[in-house]
Amino acid sequence: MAIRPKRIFAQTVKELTQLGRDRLTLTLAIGLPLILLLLFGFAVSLEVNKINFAIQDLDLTPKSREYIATFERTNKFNLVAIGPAINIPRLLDQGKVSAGLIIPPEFSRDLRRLGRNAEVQILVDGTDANTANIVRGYAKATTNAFVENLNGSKSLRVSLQSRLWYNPGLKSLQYIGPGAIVITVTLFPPLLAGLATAKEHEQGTIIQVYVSSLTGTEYLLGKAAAFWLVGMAEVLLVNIEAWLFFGLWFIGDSTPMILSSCLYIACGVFWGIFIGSSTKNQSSAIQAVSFTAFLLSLQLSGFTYPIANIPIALRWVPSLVPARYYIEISRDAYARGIGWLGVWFPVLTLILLTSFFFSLAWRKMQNMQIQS
Amino acid sequence: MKNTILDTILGSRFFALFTKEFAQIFRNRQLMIQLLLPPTVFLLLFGFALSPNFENLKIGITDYSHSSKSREFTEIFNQTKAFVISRYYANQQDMIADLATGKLTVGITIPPEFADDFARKRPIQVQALYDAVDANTASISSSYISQLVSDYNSRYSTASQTGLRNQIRLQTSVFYNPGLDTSWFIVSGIFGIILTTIGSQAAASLVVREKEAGTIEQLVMTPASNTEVILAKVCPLLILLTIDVLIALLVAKSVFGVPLRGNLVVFVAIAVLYFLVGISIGILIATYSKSEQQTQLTAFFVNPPLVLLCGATTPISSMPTFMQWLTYLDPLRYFTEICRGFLLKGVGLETLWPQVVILLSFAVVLMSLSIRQFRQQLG
Repeated sequence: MAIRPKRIFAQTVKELTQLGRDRLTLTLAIGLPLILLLLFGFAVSLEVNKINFAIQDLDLTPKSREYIATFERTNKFNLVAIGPAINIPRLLDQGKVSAGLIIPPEFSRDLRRLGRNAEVQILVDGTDANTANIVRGYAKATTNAFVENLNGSKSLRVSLQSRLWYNPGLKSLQYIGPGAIVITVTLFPPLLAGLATAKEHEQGTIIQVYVSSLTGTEYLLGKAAAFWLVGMAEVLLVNIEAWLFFGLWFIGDSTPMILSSCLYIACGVFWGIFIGSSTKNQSSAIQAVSFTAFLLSLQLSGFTYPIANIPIALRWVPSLVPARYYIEISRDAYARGIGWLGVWFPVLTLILLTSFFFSLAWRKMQNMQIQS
Repeated sequence: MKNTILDTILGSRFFALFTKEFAQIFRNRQLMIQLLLPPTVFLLLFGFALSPNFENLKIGITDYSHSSKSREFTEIFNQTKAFVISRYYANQQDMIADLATGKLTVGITIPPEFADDFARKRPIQVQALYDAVDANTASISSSYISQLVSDYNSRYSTASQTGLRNQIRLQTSVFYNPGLDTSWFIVSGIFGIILTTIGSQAAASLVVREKEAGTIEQLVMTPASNTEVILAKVCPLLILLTIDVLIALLVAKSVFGVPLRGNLVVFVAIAVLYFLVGISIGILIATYSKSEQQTQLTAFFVNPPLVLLCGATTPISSMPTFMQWLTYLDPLRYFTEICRGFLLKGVGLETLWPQVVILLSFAVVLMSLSIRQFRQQLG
């Protein structure tokens, strides 16, 4: 059976007209990504800065104050409570501080005696293991700095010369931003496509499609093209917004990003159509899309947590999530700038995944017509 | 006497509506599955898969010195779980190429004169290159590495002048999660996220479906008041969501070993209170929209901010200040604090009462708003 472009086009126009009539949906589909991008960009950060911190100073001597001043100078700690009478375990219970330091009364006396170790205690809230680890590291580094200052640091053997590449200012927006773009455009293409497909089943208009001379492939391509266009419009808007608010722009070859945007949106649309025609019911379609396309992409694409941390037994899950590859490509496009040499593999995988999702949806369409 | 109370309950309009809603939900197999399956699956998946910890960061080493001293130095990277040496390179160019494609997080270059300088006690410069695209990982690994190097330095200086230096010994006690098990953090946070998403979406779709099918007029024409109609809609959902919480608690305890330190009866009661908030949000959304599609899109408008601003997966203290202010408007933020308080810290109402009071006021305000909105639309 040949594919007739005219029919596909007609189907696309019908789909877009239908979408255009639903004002609220259209506004949400265009407006929501713009808000989501800001949220994702600004609210998602694992950076540990300004740790709420309490110091119980039982020593109250110039030395202990000097030690406290070292903590204040690092700008990693935000001193919430300080004094000899504060109750650190209580503050931890209430969640007001993430860590507390106790300086014992004999602190400066022990420091004055050569060769004797002064002991201080740090209490860390372990609920968030990541923050706890980092707080512990900062506290140790701060203490080391204080001790080195005390002793005069002439004895350094190896000195470290560090260089931070691609992002010398360590701006986390450079990292979070490209990921946020990806997650933002993840939701709507499959959601709208899934809803429209499920709606045809719910309202029975799918029967009209069966009766018409439209083939399954034409129906699929026509529907997909409509939502693909909506998705690409979103990509464009979101990119403009990211440039305005985050200052992100292509730093190298932009062709991998453009190509993979086309592929990624197509992936989502085909998946949405597949879900829609499998569930045949709008509310299930939404649940399915929001869990598979959105939650999985949000949590397992390496957007917030590194994929390397996922146990090997579960690694196959993120490898099926297209967002994972699209994020790699977008991070390269906006932050690293290597171009094709660095990202040919993720682009290739996206091509494979797109064909996979297409064949899923296509097979569903073929079966569907046989069933009815 | 007892009999008559039971009779009034069973004979009441509310109970009749309740039975109707209950039957409606239980007949809807798909909705049942949606309500009961994803929470468990996602709790398991995310609990196992998500970890914000930094482990096994890949280090590449170009050692131009090839001496026993330089090999001893590179040993320091094997001392923590944070790093794993992925490859030794013969020249720096190859290492830089791997850094560029993201195969390495850090590249270390040791100069040819390392052993020489070491013997003559001259200061040695070692170069560390970081792939800083991920600013956070880069800054964490750079602080790890400077810690390792400073440990290495102090090993050599204290060996030569034992006892002559002042030291401060830092004694760390980790509270609540001494094993620093990251799954505890994730599981206690995902709890609220899943229940909010499911609760509000299910409630919204139940209400809007009656609207779409036109059966809502029939409901309004019955002698039951709008409050009764809404409460009857809410109750079966509450029961299902409570079952969800019990399953989730079971999974948290048996699979992840989350300690569940607080009083669980009180916790479940607070959870039910929180569902009321979630369900009211759903009903409120449904009253504003005309179709299932609009409802769900609006739910997506409301749910992601709730989820992202609650501090369940990323610490609130790392957000910019204006975002931190917004988190105070997020009911899920308080529920997440309660979850962590009860399940991990083992504190009870005596510490968490402010959060409970806030949740209670959220529930009252949202519930009465949604009932009012419901009445206005149909009155």
